[in-house]
Amino acid sequence: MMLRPRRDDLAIIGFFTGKIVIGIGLLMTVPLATALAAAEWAAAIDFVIGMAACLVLGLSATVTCRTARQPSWSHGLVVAGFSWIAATAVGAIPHWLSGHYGAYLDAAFDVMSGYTTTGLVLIQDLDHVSHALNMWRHLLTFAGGQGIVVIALTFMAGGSSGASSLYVGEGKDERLLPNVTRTARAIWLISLVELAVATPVLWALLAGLGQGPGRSFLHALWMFMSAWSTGGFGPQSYNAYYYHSAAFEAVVVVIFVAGSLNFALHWAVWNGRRSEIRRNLEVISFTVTLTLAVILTTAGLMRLGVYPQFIAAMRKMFYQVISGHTTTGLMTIYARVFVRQWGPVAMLGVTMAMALGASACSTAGGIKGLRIGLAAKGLALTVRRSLVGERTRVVAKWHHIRTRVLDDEVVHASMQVTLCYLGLYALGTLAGVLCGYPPLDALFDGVSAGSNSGLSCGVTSPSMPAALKIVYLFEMWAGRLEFGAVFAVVGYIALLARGR
Amino acid sequence: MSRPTSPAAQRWRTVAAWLVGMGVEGLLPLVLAGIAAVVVGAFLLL
Repeated sequence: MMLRPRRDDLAIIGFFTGKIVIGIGLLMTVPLATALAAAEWAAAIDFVIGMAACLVLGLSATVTCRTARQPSWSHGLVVAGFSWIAATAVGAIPHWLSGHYGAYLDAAFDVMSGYTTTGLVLIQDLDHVSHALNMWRHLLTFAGGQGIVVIALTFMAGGSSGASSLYVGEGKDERLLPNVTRTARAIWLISLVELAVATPVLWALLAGLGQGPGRSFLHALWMFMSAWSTGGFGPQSYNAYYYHSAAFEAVVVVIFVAGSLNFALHWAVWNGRRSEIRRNLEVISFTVTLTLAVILTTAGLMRLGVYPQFIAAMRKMFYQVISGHTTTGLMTIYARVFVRQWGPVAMLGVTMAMALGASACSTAGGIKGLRIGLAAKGLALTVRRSLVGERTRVVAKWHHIRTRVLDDEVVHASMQVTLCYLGLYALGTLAGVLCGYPPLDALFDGVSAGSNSGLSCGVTSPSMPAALKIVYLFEMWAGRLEFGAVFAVVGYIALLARGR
Repeated sequence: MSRPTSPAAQRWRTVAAWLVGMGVEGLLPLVLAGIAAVVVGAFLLL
């Protein structure tokens, strides 16, 4: 029987959530330094207030809930789920104080969108946002891509069982190294090396396009953070379309595809196992589903003759589909072009790409290639079993870092999470339709929120109903945490409400 | 006898091999999907 959480259970949750809130406050030193360097005094005050709020709330929680107990498995899940809500609430303070949001809900929406690497935005007058706020927006998405808990674990001394449960609660269930803290550090090592390599390339490209050295550096850094974390934010309201450069688009595509691949795959290649790329079930699954999505989208665009030039059609189609499939959300078209020009077939192609998503244990969202691959293999196994009869034992294998025998339990677990995602997409779509949006538009943005993609056909805007904003907020949170932590938080609240 | 590689050089080699590996073979899905898109697009165009 499940027991009502006791005071010391709540203390553990409060203590670790408090630590993560302090971490968010410390992270604000980066935009604060940016504000001071750029002489943006109003923005600096916003971040001082934000930091103070984080430190006061975080320290209060850690002092009042001080405990020497290690979190159990369920504690870890609840902390992972709850800390993302707490981090959103406090992280939105500088957003809200900036004056670029119509309501605190809109600011919280953008912060959750950043942490979950979704990329849907409700910010107003983005083209006149301070450098500091832009730094914070992109830093949030970069940090969220690796995982808020991963950041906390990076600075923890040991790899206790509690740390392990926190790590899994955040939707990352693969260990690159035996110790979870060292795994977190390996994830950061990969991301920071990629940042050090890719940012100068983007910087040179943007400088070549005519931006000044300071501005091009900031844009390069922000676009790297956005692309690598499969986030989808941009410093300009035109998003990636602002740059009008095929070379820039090509480099950014390479960055977000790399970011959408499993960190365990990166680590295997890092350790010299390059053949892993060709054998990995996720990469094979991604190749097949990406091909299907581009064929469907191409057919939709060509049928309507949207782009008179073939190369232009390929360029626009490819960027949007890969952006959707990797759940990045960077766009080189205006949102309403999906509805007004691309039409239903192409929109369904992009929606399918977003729904499937990229790799597990990456910065990406969606159902994930591993689950699609396992479902396909499981289906093939069932068909083979039915063909050979009961007396013959049929075995299927799958490869992800190591080769394993496919068992029903793995397929069953994959299908459960897949069903949860489909339910989440249905929730977002239904909410959109109930709010008066056309079904296809509601499906597009509902899937985008649940898969943490960030492409929008125009439903997501500051003027959309508050109820729909809340549904999308929930979708982004649940989709990013892959449901385990969400069910744990809901279960804890239900047990507390039950009263015994 | 070959000279032993310094740890710093070994680190650079590791990073370079990772970048080349991911940059070349990691992009194979895009190449294959791109070929499929061009073939389908050209077919529909004709």
